[in-house]
Amino acid sequence: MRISRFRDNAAHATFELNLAPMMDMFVSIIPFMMLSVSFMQIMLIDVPLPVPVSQALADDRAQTKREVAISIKMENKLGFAIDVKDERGRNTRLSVGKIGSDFDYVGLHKKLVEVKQRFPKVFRVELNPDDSVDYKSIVQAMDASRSIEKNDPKIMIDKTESPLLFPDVILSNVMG
Amino acid sequence: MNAAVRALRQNQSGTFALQITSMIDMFTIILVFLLKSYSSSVVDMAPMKDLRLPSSTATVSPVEALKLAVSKDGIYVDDKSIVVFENGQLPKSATDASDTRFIKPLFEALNTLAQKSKNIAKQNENVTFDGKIVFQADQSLNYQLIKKVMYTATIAGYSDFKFAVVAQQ
Repeated sequence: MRISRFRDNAAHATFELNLAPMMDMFVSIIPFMMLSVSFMQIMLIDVPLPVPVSQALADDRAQTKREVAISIKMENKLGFAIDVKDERGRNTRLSVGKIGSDFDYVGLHKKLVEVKQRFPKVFRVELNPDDSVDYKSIVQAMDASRSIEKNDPKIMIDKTESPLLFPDVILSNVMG
Repeated sequence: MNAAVRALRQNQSGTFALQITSMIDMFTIILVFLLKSYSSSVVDMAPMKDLRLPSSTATVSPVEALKLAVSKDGIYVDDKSIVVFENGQLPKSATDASDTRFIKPLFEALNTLAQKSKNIAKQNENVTFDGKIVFQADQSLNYQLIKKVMYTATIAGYSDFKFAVVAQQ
């Protein structure tokens, strides 16, 4: 009798698992996750600057009273006007006109490289756009002011080449 | 003839058991992969609808901060509408009569958030209020409006602006 019961149980030992609810769950979760997931992971590359350059940048940022002041006036009618005040208080103005109706960002960059060659340890520039200038043009002017490009003349700080032009672009006319 | 018909009828059985075990295996693998990717996305930086950000050569990664957006339709703080523009212009009622650069509803919204953050910073030493703000603005907007928004945000305590731009390819 025991043997026959054992045989009955053994015959029913295999059964089919009902996977349909699990499938339902997966089908709901997967589209939701695929919509919200970010496949592109943003990472940082830590690239420290050469010591003389980073030291000069830190020194410039720590300055409270500036002997050298560089400001860029940006007007829809005239284009760019770069005003440079040196250590002796002398003022120089460099103008970059417009090309047709567009601002000349290449011209601005060239003039800023010339200014940088005179003052390699200055990293801050003040940008004063006119009220009518659009946001896109401001961002492009900031781009032209920030870093040295491939074909630009080398900027040397204590015999070390600097990749930076004027990384600290400040919108100085926001408050006043 | 009869045998052939009988055989055809036997083959046309209506129900059959679908073998879905392998499909479940596949789904499990996909789900684990997606869960892993989901947890690694830290900074959510999606531009607002109908807002065209300018492109830039900037290479700095986005940071987690309060989001202030200015589109052609209005001003938003953390996706919440603060000011709605009238015919694409900032309504006069939104600015202060004595100082036209001061946008009152924006100041109120930002000031409330700044006070909250400052209170949290008082209670928790690990939290500091740094006045950082991620600024999204439509590329066609003029500086006059942007200046007003930045002026108001600075008065509310948010002076460290991070301009959100689209990375130039």
